[in-house]
Amino acid sequence: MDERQWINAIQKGDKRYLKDIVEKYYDDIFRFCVFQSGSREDAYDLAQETFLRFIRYVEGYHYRNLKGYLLTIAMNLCRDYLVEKARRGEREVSYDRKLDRDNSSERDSMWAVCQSPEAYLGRSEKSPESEFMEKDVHDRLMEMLSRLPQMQRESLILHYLYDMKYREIAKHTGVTVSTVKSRIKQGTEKLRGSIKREDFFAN
Amino acid sequence: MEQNKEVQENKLEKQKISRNKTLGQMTYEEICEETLPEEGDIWKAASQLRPDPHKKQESLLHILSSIDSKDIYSAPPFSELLLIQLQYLSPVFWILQGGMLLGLMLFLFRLPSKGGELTDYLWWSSVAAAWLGVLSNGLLGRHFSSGMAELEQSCYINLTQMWTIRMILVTGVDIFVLTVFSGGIALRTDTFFGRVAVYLLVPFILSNACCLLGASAIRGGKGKYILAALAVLTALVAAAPSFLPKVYTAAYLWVWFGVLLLGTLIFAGQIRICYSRMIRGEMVCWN
Repeated sequence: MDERQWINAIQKGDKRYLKDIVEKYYDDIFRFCVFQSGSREDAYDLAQETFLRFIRYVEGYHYRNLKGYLLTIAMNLCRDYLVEKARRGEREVSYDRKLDRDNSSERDSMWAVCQSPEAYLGRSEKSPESEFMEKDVHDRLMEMLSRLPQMQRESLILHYLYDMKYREIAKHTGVTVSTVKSRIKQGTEKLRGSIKREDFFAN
Repeated sequence: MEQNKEVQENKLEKQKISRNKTLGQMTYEEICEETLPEEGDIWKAASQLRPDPHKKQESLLHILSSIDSKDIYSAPPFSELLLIQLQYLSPVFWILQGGMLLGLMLFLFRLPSKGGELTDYLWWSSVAAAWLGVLSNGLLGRHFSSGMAELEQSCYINLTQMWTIRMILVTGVDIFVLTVFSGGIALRTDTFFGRVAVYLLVPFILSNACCLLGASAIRGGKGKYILAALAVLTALVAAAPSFLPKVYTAAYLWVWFGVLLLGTLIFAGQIRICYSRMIRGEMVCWN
């Protein structure tokens, strides 16, 4: 059964396919929420709320691109979340990096990543060390992304993390293709600058 | 290809060198220079971010409980709604519509194929157009007959939606029949199609406006007699201009347009009143 048939079945009252959808897309949505909101903890709530909203309005959903639809819900939730955070007088994104960074261990882990990038990419079995390194990479990416304007960050994540085309991003974010191109170009340049200058290896 | 290979080899060489060095021998810049990760690698690493299994489980439990408590209300698409309502249209409606179309086609063919006067065609086709309106409204008026509105509302049927769909269906059939008439008459009298259509639309719209008022205002078993009386009345009004042939000349066309516009406005106003009465629930009598 493909997704269109799932949606048809759900709209006819078969709820078990809702569970399949949640299981299939939970990680994707969570990942988006992490990088967009900059908070792992809040990303669980945002991902959860994304699916709750989808479930609430599933009867009126016309199937086109389910993953894109869920990402659009998540994107809107993240926007609201960031606005709410800003309203509360906090920084737009505050990252809860609680890693106790010791310089030597930092350099050791960095060294290990440098020695063998595959150590944190595509491993089937993860050692505690490699898990730590992976988390570190994610935290650093989150931090770098947090320095980008929200709209650029959104476009970058959708483009690089979800392989969305400019046209698709434009459709989901409600802007023109040229605006998306410009956001991605500027965001990429800033990100590249951060990686090269300091951030990715900063203490 | 060769260039890529060379770049790859250089990279491997650098990695090899870096492995041979100890951390203490390298400066921070050297490390960055040699092993700066590619952007693609970073995004690849990012794509491997996974939620914590326990927290994910907690979150999934919330979502699953929401799924369990969810009541799915089936909302069929518009095309399906059209088909559903189509099968509930009364057979009498189809018989009368079909009979009218057939009878008028036969009548059309009995008249001389060319050179007939426009008024020869228009008096009876105007009466037919008026009757089409009576017939359609008779069908729509069934919703307002005693007990029907209450039954439909109390069965949680969306009365306004049902009424809209039926109106679209019956008006679609009427417009089709009128188009056939207008086309046939225009061909036989060498008259512009649009002009004939206006002559036929005027009695059609006026009878609709008149009958909708009757059908919605008068409820109960006497509705059909009222409709029969309205059919006679509208037929007389529709045939009346034929006694003054000059009103079908081009000079009076603007009057026809004016009446058509006025009739359309009255009809639209009546539809609006009907809808607001349905939405406010005035049609519902819980007793």
